[in-house]
Amino acid sequence: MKRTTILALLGMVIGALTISLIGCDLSGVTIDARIDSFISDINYDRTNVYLNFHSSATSDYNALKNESTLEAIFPVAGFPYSRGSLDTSDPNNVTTVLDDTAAWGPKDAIFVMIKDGMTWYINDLWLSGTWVIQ
Amino acid sequence: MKKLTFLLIVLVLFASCASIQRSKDEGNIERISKLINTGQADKLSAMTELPFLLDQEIILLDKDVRTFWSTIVEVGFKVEEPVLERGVKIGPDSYKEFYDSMEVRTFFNKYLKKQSRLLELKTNTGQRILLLVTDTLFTRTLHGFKGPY
Amino acid sequence: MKKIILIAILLVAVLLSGFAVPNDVIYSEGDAAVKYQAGYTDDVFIGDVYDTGDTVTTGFDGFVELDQAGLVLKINPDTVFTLQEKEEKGEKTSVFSLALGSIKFRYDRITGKEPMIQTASCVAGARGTEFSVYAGADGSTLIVVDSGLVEVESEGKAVQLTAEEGVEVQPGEPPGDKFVVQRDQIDYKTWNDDKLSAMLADPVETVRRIQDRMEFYIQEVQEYDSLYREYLKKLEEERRLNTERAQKEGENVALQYENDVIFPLSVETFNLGLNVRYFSLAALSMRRYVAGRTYLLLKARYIADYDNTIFREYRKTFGELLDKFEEAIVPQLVEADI
Repeated sequence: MKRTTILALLGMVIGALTISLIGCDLSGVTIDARIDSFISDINYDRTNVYLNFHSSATSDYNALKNESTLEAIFPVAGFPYSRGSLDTSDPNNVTTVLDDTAAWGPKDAIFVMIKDGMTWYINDLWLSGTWVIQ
Repeated sequence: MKKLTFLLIVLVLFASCASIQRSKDEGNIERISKLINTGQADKLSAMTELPFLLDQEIILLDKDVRTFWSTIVEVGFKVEEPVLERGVKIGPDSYKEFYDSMEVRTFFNKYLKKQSRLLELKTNTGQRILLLVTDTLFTRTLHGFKGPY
Repeated sequence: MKKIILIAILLVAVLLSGFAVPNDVIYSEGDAAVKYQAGYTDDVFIGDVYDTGDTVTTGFDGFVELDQAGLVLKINPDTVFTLQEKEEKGEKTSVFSLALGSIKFRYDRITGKEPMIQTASCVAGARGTEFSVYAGADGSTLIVVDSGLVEVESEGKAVQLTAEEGVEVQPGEPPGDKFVVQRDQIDYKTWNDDKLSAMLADPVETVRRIQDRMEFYIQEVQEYDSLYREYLKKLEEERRLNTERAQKEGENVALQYENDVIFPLSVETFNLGLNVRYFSLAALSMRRYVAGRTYLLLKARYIADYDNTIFREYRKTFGELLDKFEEAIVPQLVEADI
């Protein structure tokens, strides 16, 4: 019995190690979490904003790697940016209202989402009816 | 007495670690030099990882790496009587020894491993070559080549 | 299953957008790899869908065929090809960037704005055509048209090609004289071997030509960057004034001004920033795939003869190219680009 228990525990440890080593994220990133990550990066780490977009589907992916390009659309002076409630019923048309602390918002936002495995990414971003990030 | 014995043991272990590492570094430069001198371009290509740093150039294509090794063999380049001048673990400023640029700094940060080493060898004519090498239990990988200078 | 979902989503995105059309792999053989924008590499498989920023590289026996809503693109062996995008007057244009090797295009029908083809030495635009583009190891380009009309532009000069016409463009120079060429008459390997021989015979001239083309990219980067900074300043000033407007005339008035004036200005500014990135990344591609590759070839050739006069002169001129690149382009790049 003791031996079986030990073997079972060992198996679980190896399994957990394997999963973490191969970087398998069993939970993925939800739409809500992705959009919140995007807003958090806009506020606190613009060098990572591009990682919230899909590397293949988002045409501006490479351009967004240089965080200074975001200043025109999301001025730092408006920090911190926030969102209203999300309507995630249609991943191709996730709507919310983005706002800041200056005179930038509120702005109607549409996130066109794309799922890769278990993880949702932003494909496109529309602001006030304009296709801003493709 | 016990403390002294303990200290001596630690010192001996430390010294043997350092000499093991030196031995490894010497082994690497000997091996790579031998491959160049005996014209084994295929083996050099197989041990080279992409991207590869050649002086200040980041080489991305496998066929370019193959061209480099086969051409230097073709033109008769030899590494005569290589001697290990130094072998150091990659540090924050190591990239400057290849070329002081953002690209080379990024290469070092992104593509080298924590255990990668910068080896400097000297030939019998006084020429120096820098190599970027990573050793694991079963493999030896070449990431960069600079020289001779 | 993942790929089917991805293709379905992308197709929906295409229907919604009408822009940024993805490219489906309809055929692949031999050694062919794709490097995604995110930086990871995979083999090319039939059914893959590629988009802006993805780079397809074929080995000596590799061949890939892409289909993009009315356009068929054949990527020949030993080729490095990237899908890019450029902003122009508020519109995005697909740009097919050929760093090395050869590709063949066939447009079955005109689908909105035709994509542009960019190499180290020129830019070509096409309408309802079938043509091939060859990018030489020395940065030169050869374009041969089978049918339709292609306009090739370089250094402010353009030449139009019709069926069975070709033109060669050296980096840093306007298009050469056009010539008559039969379909499939050009052997890319022979043409490229000639380019390599010419490059090895006069490497200093080769790097000077690359320098000239680099000057073009530097100029574009500087002009767009200057415009971008000017717009950014204007934008900052407008925002500052709008903050005052909010205090004096109320939030609603300020919000109206933001929506009517400031936001459109911000989008224009953002697009200018994207163009700075486009030309900077084009310069990086040339530095990596043309300049860097010539350096490798020459270094290998002269490694046992380092003090050779030609090689010394080449290294000196190459150093000048690097200095210009460091000064003008590197400030626009980020670590994620390397």
